[in-house]
Amino acid sequence: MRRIPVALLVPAVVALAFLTLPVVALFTRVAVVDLPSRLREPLVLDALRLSVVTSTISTLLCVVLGVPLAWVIARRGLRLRQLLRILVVLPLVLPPVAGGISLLVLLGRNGLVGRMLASVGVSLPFTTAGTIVAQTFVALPFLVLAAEGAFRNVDQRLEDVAASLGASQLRVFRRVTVPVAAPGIVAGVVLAWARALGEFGATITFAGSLPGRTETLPLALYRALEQSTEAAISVGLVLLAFSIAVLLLLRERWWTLS
Amino acid sequence: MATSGLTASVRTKRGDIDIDVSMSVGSGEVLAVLGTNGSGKTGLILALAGLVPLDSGQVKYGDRVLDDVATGIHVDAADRNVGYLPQHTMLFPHLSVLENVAFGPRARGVSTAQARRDATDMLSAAGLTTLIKRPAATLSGGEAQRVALLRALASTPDLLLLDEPTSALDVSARAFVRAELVSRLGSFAGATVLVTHDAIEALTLASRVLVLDAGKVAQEGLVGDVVRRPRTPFVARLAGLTVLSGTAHEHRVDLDRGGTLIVGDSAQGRVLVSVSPRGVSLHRDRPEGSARNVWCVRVTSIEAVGDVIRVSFEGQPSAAADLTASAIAELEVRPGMELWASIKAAELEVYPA
Repeated sequence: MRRIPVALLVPAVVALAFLTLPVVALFTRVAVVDLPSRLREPLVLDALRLSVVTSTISTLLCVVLGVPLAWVIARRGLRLRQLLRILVVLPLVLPPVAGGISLLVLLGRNGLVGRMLASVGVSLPFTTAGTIVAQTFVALPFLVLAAEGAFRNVDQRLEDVAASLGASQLRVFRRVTVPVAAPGIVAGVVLAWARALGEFGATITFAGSLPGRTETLPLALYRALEQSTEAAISVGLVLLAFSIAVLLLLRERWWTLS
Repeated sequence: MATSGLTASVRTKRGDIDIDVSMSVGSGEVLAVLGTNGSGKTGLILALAGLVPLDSGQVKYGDRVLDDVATGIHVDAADRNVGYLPQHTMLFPHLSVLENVAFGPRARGVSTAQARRDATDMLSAAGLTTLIKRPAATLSGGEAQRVALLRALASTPDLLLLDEPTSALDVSARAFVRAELVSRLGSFAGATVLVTHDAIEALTLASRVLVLDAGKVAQEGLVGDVVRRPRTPFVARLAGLTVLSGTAHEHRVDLDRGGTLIVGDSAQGRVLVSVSPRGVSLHRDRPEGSARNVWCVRVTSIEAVGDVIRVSFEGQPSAAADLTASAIAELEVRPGMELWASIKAAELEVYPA
């Protein structure tokens, strides 16, 4: 291998240290052997269970809604594609708390859609369902952008051949386009899931922080910090360990992508 | 008008080429569409497959109307029963060879088990048993193209559209795939449109040829006639010939751009003469042999064409000669060198302009 120029090597090393040192620091404060006992604390256990359930459901929602949207964007002309992309990215650049407020305005009891939902007995704010809505709102753009890129890399001629072989548009999508784009879509799923798992601002604004119902791990972590740093660190470790476990499970699908 | 096979008049835009072609291909017939890159060949194929819309015109297979802009009829690609083999093969990379071949029948409603059985039989009959379980992405170019051909044929299409089926292959795979095409097309009952920029491919696979230049038909006819008697310099170049215009007085043709040729067949009036580089010989000294046409030339370029070396020269007339490597070495041919060219009268094709 050729030598890396110093001008590139130094910032690269700094970036890597910047990303990994805080995580390493976390481990220096708490003995890892304590982790199982920490996990058994009801506060942590409830929050972990809630985080797993809500982030998984919101990631599934992202896939169900986001993959078709990504395909629609990928197959439009340039102008419309750019416009749609801006609309999709909007929640990404919005501060999450602002996102939570806009969700309240739309879906709150007096909100535009909220009022209609209330009339059929559905209320989203400060419920577990509200947590899922907030997570989906912030995670969806990641999935759409990744999947759109993946779809645009699928050779049009593969779809042409499939159509000429008698496949309907929907069959071409299911049997050719999605499988060929799968590695890119999986990358988007991982990003969306990570974003949903770490979600804080929109969740606390829209769904509040009710232990057992809307208090996910990041919210529990923040509350623990108000009590003691030690407690907060251990919750942080749980979050970290869980994330690493999932990434390891997905490594075959994602990390091996060249 | 033929009631079996394909009849089409296609007008469509592809990039900045206006395609305007009328054509018909009978059942069991192979029509080669010969043209360079940018002649609109691929656009024509896509229009016939129903993958790009027509601006005007009509496409019919037998009595079935597939496209008719005037009455607003457009049958989707999926419902046309067309086998389409695009350039660069385009096997589905995420599927096995077996699933690729079974894809068409399954899309058309054949049960999974039946489609797999049929695909297995088809691959075995083609001597590709060892490939059946292989992921399509792992095949060599030649293997992939043979599988792609089977995939196109698996749902017994009415119309087979082949886009440059051997152009992406190396020389040895090309010969192999071409042999496979000859036998497959020979037993194919439907109409075949073969798009190619390779005159040899047209010669070996097709009975009729349509030459496409900038989206328009430059010449059409039996393959042998078109490649022996090109009507335009464009067709001549595709066929590897030089075509010269002139005025014939029995066996003598006075060429428009200078020079005179003696031809074997007697003719009168405006004619075209085609000169095959295979018939032309080059000599250091004026030859004394039986050739009736001998003239002085200057070498302009030397290039390899297949397994011969083509020496282009200017003179009256300018043309080219195909030589073996040893002949080149013996003559010590260099660009700019002056030599004698000769060709027998019987080697020249003469035909009315």
